[in-house]
Amino acid sequence: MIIEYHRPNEVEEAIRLLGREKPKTIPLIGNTRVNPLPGEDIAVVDLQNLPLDQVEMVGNALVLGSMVRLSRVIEENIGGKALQELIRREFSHNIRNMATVGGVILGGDGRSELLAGLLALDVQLIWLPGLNESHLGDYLALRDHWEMGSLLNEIHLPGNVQFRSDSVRRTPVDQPLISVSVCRWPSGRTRIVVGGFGNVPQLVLDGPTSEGAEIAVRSILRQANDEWASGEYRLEVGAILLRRLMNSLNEE
Amino acid sequence: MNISLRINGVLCEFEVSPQTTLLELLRKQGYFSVKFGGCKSGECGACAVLLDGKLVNSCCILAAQVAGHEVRTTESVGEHPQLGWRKTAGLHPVQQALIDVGAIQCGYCTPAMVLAGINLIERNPNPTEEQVRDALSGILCRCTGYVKPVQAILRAAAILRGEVVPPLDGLPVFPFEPTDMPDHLEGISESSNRVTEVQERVLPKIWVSPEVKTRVTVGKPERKVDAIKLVQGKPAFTDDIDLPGMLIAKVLHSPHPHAVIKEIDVSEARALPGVAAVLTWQDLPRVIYSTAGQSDPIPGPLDTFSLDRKVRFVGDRVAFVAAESEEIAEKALGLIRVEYECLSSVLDSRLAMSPDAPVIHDEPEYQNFAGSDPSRNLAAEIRIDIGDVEQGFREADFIFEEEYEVAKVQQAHIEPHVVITYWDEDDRLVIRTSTQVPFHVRRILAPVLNLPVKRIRVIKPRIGGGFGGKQEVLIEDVAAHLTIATGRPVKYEYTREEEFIAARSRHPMRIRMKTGVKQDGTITANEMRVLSDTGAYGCHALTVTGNTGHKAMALYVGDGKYRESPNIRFYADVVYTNTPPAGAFRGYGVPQGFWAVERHMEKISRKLGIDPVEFRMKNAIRQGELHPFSTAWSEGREPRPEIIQTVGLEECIRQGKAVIGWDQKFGNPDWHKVPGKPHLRRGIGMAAVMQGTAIPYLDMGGASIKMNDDGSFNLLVGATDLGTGSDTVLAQMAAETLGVPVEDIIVYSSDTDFTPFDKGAYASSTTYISGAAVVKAAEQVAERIRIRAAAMFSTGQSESVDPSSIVLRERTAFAPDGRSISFRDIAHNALHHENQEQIMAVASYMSPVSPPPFAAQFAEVCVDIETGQVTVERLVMAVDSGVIVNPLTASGQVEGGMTQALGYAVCEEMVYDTYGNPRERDLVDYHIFRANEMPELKTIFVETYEPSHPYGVKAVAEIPMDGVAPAVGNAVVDACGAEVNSTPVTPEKVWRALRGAG
Repeated sequence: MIIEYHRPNEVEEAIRLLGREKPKTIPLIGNTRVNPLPGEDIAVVDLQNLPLDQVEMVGNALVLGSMVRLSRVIEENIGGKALQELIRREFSHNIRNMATVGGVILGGDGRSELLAGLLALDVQLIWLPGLNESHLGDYLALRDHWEMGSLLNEIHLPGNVQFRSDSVRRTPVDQPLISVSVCRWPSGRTRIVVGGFGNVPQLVLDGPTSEGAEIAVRSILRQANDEWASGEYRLEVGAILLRRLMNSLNEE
Repeated sequence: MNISLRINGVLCEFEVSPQTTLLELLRKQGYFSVKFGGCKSGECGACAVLLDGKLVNSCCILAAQVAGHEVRTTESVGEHPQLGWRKTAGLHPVQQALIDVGAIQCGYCTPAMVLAGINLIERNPNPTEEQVRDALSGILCRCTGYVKPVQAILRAAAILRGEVVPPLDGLPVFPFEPTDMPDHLEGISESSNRVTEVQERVLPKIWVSPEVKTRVTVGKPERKVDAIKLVQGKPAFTDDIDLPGMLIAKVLHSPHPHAVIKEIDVSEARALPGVAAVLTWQDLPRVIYSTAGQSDPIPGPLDTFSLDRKVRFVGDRVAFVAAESEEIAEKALGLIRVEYECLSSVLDSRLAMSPDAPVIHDEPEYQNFAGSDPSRNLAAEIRIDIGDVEQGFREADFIFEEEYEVAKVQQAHIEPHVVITYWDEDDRLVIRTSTQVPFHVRRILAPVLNLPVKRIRVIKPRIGGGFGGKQEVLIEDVAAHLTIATGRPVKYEYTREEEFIAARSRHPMRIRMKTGVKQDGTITANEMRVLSDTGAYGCHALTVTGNTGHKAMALYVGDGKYRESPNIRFYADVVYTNTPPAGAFRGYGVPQGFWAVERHMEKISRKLGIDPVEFRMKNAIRQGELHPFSTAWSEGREPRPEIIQTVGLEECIRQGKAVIGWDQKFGNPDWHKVPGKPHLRRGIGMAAVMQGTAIPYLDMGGASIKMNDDGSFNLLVGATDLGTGSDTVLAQMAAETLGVPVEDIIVYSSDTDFTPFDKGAYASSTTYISGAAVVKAAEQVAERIRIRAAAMFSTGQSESVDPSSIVLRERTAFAPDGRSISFRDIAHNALHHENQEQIMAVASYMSPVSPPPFAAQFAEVCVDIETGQVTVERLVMAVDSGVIVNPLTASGQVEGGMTQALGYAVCEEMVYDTYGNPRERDLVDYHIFRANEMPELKTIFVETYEPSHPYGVKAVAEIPMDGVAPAVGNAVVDACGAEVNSTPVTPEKVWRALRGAG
């Protein structure tokens, strides 16, 4: 059960609280599940008083504070239509008013097309204390073992990139069975991420061009077998979605 | 910790624990408009409030988080327009619009929709339909299909902008003029471009047959009688009370699919401070019963104990706990030590009757019914042969055989199962419960609790949706046992996870069809063999599966000589497995049957090269013919022959075809292609279906009516309005009979101490059965009014007035000579002045027939032929439900039913792993349609006049479940040739079918 609630006014205090081992202390960062495991005593740190909801352009990068609500991204037309469409598909109106960009990064799973999209965008995460930088892919690889006491401060999204995402769902806003997200930089660098299964989305390609993308997608998805769809299906359909996305980027 | 916040503008201070959610705080403080949907993760949005002007779900926000903020609930929004001498501002236009357009069914999600609508309009006074749908996207509604809530918000926005909106009573002009198909022939439209006008589609299209009489109230779109309280979020539901000293119950559920409890140690749990009782199988009397809420005798096996030494599915009951708080109860569950001896289990219905399958019910107390044989895991068996089926097959030119499958799906009512029990001052046990069957609850639980019926009182408040899930005595015994054990009030409310692991569901079935057909399309014999999975207990096992054949196999009798003597076979085995029990779910076995029958008919017609609609009509049953199953099977009663008096199916097909544009689309290659998108194909499909109306010679409903001083009437019914609007429809029939407006009928349902018996809300029977009882009671009251009015007219006159000559209308009795007396004066005369009497009557009704409603369901889809993704773009249903008493509530039933059916057509299913663990435990994985992803829905009523009912009605509630899935499946075939024989029609199934098709 939740045995302590804290609402610090200073970042340092939040970091101190989050660094405690006992009781286990977690940030309230816009996930909708606040329940601890049965029998587990935890403390929570509410970040609402901290300056973590900034939105600004720094050079070519869009900088979002970790506590920026998803509803704000849509209402203030932040980050481009493709990103906003992902948010609309994945989160209902009520949830968008509660969920944050940081919450998606800290709690999203492999079925989150938004998280897959952010991974394709190769977003940079800035952590407190120390303004340490990490790429989302690095963080997701270590998420379960991430250092206690660190606080996600900002998310940097690249500007001037082409971004597309597509998915197959049983209904228009159901969770995806398979998603493919593609980001291409002006240099030709291309990142491709697949999702719709597993604990986190999977990066399949980060190369100077998209060469070999379909082979990479097929290779990753061959093993993507779960109770929702077969690896065989995901493999074939993932390749189709990839082709469509690449065609769409090329036509732009 | 202490927090302060503003609630509805008032600064409040509270002491809360860190883990108290905003929902818990608000409900504890009496803000009952904020509803619990069974979770703490924001799945359904019934708990939505405005937090600093943003719509959020209060179940997943801590109370501490809102300290210093402003919360707004529906309690702040509007009031009843008439509250005695105090002037009120009345309802908010959003609330009024929700009432006016018929957007409220069960009303459980309505307060959240009120806030969503107001919040949207305050931000955007001129929203589009898409924006309204997005604003509602976080609020799940299982009743309405979202059509009317969207219309209501658009209408309210227009009103708030100062625009003049058309009066709803005038659309279309009432009484409806008979219309014919071409009047509303519609062209091909792009579904993606649809725009809902404020006034459009509020009322369904109605085709009126010449026999239907024009009435004053029956047939009119009256506002729901319970709408004002529901739109305000008044404390009308089971959980909306807080009794002093009330304990919270929790149940320990089995983690194993099949096991014996070798040891159970509850000492630690009992010792935990705050725990009032822990009960195991050793503590309770061993009484076998069935949880199926059906009339006596239960038409099924008795195979259930409140607690048993054996568990039979993951989620089965192990122990009950009652504690001072939910947290303590949860903690106590964790302190119960159980040693299980795991047994081999059977999860696949195809293996249930194999010789080496484990026996699930080996208890000596088991009581058989209708061929059940627990030694073979057989819960029920049905063998029906009508005519000479083998001869029919021999006479056929072609035999078509195919196997179909229907998934296990959940009712998913937004209000979870909830019950509160307590001893009253007379030591009678009061059970306040969200049930469809209060009288069955009382009767069935009496022996289980070792109490006589007379010492149990069951109160049914408003119900937040049921759909058959609450036609089950599912959790009332848990709270009752704990009240008996502790002497204190006890509340037990399922979480959403418990709804998935421990409540009931639709019986999954494997259905094999075999049909003999002549070259010209005449069906010579039709056979259905069903393997039905009842799960771990046999509740509704026989009757659900019986209806699969009784309704779905009755529609196609064949043509020519076969029409007079059809050859039909229906064989079914209903087997036990170690999965959660199935039970009643809207449609009651019939949707399963029609998935198979209508997919099969489509295949046959296409293979024969016959137009699928013509093929169906050639073989479908017609007016004046014998219901082929009426002499073969009935639900627990002797079958008796029944002639079908009204069949509007042919007109339904004509009307439905016109509205969906069938003739322009079907067989039109250009329409099937999507310009610029070569991977997309459009398809159109249909299904014809029939249901029943009540259970003949079994279902009975009662009603009592008494007249008040002011000429109004109290109508007491045992019937249970679970959101369908049945209270309103019953009031309309009473009002029509008595000659008063609906507002003069005060309806109360139901309380086993005060209201007459009614079998409850199931089998599409309330309007027909309970309605007939209401009309009988109203006729008796009307007769008493006429007699007294005649006496009053005759006083001091030389000639007495014949009571039968007196006409009752407009709250007044009219003599033939034009004199009149108001009902108020008649009531005063009766109650206070002369030969005093209480003008009142009680009546009941049982039907000897079950007149079937008919419908034609149409679907339009778009299929991605590369990925298999199916997008349903349009559903049109034309329904013959006899006379429509209330077009608003009836069309709401059709829209909501189509939406539920759409879910099981394309996404809803309950899947288990090899250990019996469910894949679906919440409303995220178990996806039900949201407002922002709905196809266009259209409803048409084709009125016939059913002569067996005083107002000519037939059922409407269940038939919308029957045709959507096969129509969608058939539309997918039409789009791309993919034959999918199992529900749901998922992208991977379509993709595989396409690959199989080459």
